[in-house]
Amino acid sequence: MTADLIFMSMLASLGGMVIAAAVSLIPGLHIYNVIAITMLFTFTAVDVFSGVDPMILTAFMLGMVVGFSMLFTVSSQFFQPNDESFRSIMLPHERFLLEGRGHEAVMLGGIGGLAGLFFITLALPVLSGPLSIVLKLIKPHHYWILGVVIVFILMTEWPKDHGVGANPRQRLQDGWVQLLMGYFTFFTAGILGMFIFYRTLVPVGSAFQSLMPVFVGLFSVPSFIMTFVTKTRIPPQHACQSVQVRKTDIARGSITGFIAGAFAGLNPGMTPGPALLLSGHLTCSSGEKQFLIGGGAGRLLYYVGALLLFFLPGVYMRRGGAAINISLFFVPETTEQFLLVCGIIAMIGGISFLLLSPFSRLCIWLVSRFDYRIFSWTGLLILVGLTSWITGWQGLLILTVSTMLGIVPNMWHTRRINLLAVLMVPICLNMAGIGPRIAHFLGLY
Amino acid sequence: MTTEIETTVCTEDTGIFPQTCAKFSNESCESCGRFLGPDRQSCIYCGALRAYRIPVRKFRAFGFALIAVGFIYFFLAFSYKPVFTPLTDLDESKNFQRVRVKAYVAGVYTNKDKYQKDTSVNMTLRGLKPDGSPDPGKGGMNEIRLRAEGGVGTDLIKNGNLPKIGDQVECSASLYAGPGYRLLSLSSYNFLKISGHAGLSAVTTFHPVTVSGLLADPDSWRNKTVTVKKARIVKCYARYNIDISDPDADPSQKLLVFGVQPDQHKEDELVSVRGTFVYYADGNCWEIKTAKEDSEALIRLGEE
Repeated sequence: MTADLIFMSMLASLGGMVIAAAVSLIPGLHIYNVIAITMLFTFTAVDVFSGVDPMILTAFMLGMVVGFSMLFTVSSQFFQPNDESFRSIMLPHERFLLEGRGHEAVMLGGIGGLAGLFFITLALPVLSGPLSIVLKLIKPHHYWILGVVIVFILMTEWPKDHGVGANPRQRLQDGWVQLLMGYFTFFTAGILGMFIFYRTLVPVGSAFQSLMPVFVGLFSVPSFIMTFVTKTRIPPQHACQSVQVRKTDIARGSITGFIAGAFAGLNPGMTPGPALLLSGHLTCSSGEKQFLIGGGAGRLLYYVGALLLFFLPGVYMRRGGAAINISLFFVPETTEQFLLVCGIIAMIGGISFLLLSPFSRLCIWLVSRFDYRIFSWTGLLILVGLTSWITGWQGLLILTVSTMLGIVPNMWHTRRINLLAVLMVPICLNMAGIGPRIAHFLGLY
Repeated sequence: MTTEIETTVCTEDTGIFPQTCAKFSNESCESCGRFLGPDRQSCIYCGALRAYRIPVRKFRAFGFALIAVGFIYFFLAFSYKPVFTPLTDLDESKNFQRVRVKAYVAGVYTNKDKYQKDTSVNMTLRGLKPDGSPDPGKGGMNEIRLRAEGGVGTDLIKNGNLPKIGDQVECSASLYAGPGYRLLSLSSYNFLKISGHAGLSAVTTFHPVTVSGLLADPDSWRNKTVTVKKARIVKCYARYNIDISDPDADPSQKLLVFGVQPDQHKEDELVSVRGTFVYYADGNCWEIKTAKEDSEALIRLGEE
């Protein structure tokens, strides 16, 4: 591989990281949305890019994904506080924010991410052989593994409300409403997923982003809406110089994250959220710090580790939005490419981690100067505009329906994890070979 | 910690937690920044302990270490010497595998797809001798076809990456091998690199002949690459074809040459011709078929 190509790839990845950092300032905006714009631009100006080595564009996207994976939680940490009246459980990072420890939560997540990056760059390259064997072994079993995860999610939905109503009827209602709305969310999201997979309205020309309006509608827009209606005031945040964490917390949190990230990365239809829920049970991890570290490690392993598998000789597994988009113009084939990709991940990962603290301080400064709702309004406008631009009015229609469903968990205090049925149900049914029959039954196929 | 944050902590009452107004100091909570006093081991507001704290700068060192790891990978990518598989080893046992080969181009053929949109490229690759020089021996396991179909072939041409006969190439491609067939398939134009040029004569054995010599015993020359060192153009046709004969021989002893541009030549011109000697069944005659990629297929020698 020539020094020119390596140098150009380094520059491109740094450019990608800068864009990722800018995008990370807007809560709810996902790097896959930016990748969609990049792809759209690349396809439009195909003659301009035909002379550019595909490795350079790949490096640019790698820079975006790695930078984003490390930085994107910072803005939602500070700009999307949650009103506890809309939540059944306050997640650790939400509680840290209300205690003035948002920066510490960011750094803990970053430590997990750093551990994940070391695992990705040092361990994954030598695990090519065992990984390809594991992939071959689990390939025929994906459908029932995913089915078991679905059962686990449905089981853990079982009553959480303590039933504090004044009389038995109210307590009965308290006990069942949350549970039933959780199941309603899951099954409705599942049906929506079947619709999206079998008869989506998204135009064929935008098929590479057919899931975009669904995910924006289910997760991003409801988060914005909840930010607009929340009455929470963000207390002054302290940019700590040290974090209160034990080495065992780092080790256990990281291992939990590795398992979650690996599980989500290797199994189609899985995302880090449910995977972290599962691995947390598996490793008996406890405490908020382990949760935050595990979340950071799992996130990096899912977004970056799974992407690295696309380049790993002998594995070449295409999983996740970034790998799917990169595969449209780039075919990984040589060892030098893999080494270069590892280098880019390590370099951008290291720089992103070093940027984490200044980035968090910038967010603290912004949130102390401006109303945090401004950032959500910006994010909402950008995302709705992007969805409209890329997927047309059909995408906006799907976004609207998805938003209505995405708001349900906030209104009835159920978990947002149920919304992931939009992905898990159709993938599980399709892998089991009964997807088309169910779609036919639903009148979709 | 910045002064602004210290000020904010001291002046803004959030209403959520009781605030003790004090500048951040050693007596403040390291996690939330609120004043604790000297004796407390844990924060009364956020619950953080004063013990078990790790400075953020220690983690920064790991960040720098990760960047160093990145540069080590860059160096490895730069200095990596690929392992090439000899053409003779590309057998059924490697079916569907991605392989890297280094070989010489012995033939290049292009054809448009049925929609006239993309151009597929087929190349004949021939292996190297143990000393690295081209092995002109034809056929057998020392020769394999490399296919760049559709868009890949079009990209090869568009990016000026289409090799010529005699070029030395390095490529990474998928092998399809079974009983009676072996084929390499290129999945992207950038996986074919032209690494040198040995010239046509380095990969092809040319047999110097005369027109009368060829016509006297055509079957012994069938499908061989031949060179007619000196010949006279007897007739130029409208497209692609000319007739040649030996300079001093009877013009009726003529031979068809296919694949040239007659409008660039004229009758009685002396030329040198090289190509493959084949039987043209439709025309019921023998001909020398020149290769499109061979820039020296027809050399003008002048007029007598």
